[in-house]
Amino acid sequence: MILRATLCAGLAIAGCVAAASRDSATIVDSGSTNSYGYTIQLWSDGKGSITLQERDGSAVATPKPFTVSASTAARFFSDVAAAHKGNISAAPCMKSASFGTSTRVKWQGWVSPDLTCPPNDSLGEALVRDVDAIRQAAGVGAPPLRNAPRIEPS
Amino acid sequence: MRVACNRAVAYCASDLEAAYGVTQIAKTSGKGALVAIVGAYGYPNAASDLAVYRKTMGLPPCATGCLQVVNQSGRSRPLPKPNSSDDWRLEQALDLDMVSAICPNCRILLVQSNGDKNSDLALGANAAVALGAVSVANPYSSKEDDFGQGAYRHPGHAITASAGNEAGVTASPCSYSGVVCVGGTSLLAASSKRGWNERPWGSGGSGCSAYVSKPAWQRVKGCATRNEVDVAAVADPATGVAAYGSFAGGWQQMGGTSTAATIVAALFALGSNAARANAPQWIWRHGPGAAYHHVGSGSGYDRESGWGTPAGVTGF
Repeated sequence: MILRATLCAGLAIAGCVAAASRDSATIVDSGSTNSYGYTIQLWSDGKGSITLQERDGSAVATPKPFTVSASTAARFFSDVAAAHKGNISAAPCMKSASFGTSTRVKWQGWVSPDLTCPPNDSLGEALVRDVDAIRQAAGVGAPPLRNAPRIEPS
Repeated sequence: MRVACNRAVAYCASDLEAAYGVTQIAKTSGKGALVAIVGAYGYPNAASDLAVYRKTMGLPPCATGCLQVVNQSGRSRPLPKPNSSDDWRLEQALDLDMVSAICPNCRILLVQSNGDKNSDLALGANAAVALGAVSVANPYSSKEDDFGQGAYRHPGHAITASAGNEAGVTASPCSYSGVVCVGGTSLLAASSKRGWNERPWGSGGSGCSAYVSKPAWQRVKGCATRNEVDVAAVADPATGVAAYGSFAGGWQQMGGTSTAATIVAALFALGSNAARANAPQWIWRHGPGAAYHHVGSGSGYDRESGWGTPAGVTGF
């Protein structure tokens, strides 16, 4: 609070209000036997960063910035709030033994269910779609394999 | 980077055949036997990716009728689409390649369930049996339960599953008593008589089931309930296998107990004992003994690698 007050004192009022209301959430993917996990931090203004990490959470690369559109960010934060309020759940599911991961959203102390398992309602489905779009924007298409590209048998 | 198939990581089909003692029998046996792989969601490039693997590995092409892809109802249409938020394509690529590596003359049935709910994959396993699969690989796992035992109990068919990739943790369907539960090893070339050295991977699932009672044919102590792992094969990604997925950069080095579960499923098709055996009981009848390479410490059953890894097809 002291730090924020100090910062606000040194900033124009409008900028200070914007900074104070800037929301953020993280999307955490566990990784698998063959692929790295990642943590995406997204801010409500659409700016974000992604960090590849081992399964123990240690980073394997420096964070890379990316941006999503303002509408994507707004939809995501709206859907996160709705999912939290709606107490969404997901069905138990099987994981590919070698490539299965779990993906969860963390926001204001709330942690979503594993979004790689089928959501039980439309609120969960919306959040899955949002996370998928953000993931794509962050450059996570195919799983980020540990050993890739490594070999070409001859 | 190019590597020759000369017992160096990532392992080629010929390396795996040599490591598990099936180099000769793989050339002559398994003709017409149907090995099933059960996975979730679609993989449109399955056939073309498999063709690249088999051609590169010097395996016979998978001609008409060799690969059949069906949905969880056992029908060829409609097939599910890939799921970008839960992508099983690499899993299916790895599994198709491993069955081809061990049993190049086998036919392959790829069953793609509509989703990854436990019930969807159980339906897929049942569809595989209904379509005549000699063995069915289930390279997946979930938190252990006992709800699905019936779906994976098919005497006369070898049902294999992955022990999972969480060290010391039991999983379903692997712990079900009708399933051959396959653990993982690290595999390295050696100057020994066998030519290979294997040790428990250390990151694979294992332990005493929390739900499944001890089958009468499990005669070792240590668990009052089912000892999860029956047998093992290579799974350590650091000593991984070569597999091909066009959508993920092409050739990759992969591991995990799904590798092991599909290798063992293919061995059951080569060995042709599955059709007349209770498959997990068959494993325990032959262990310890010459049918398996002992892997763990001591000389008997090892919690993580079971009775060991394949030494030919006697134990399958």
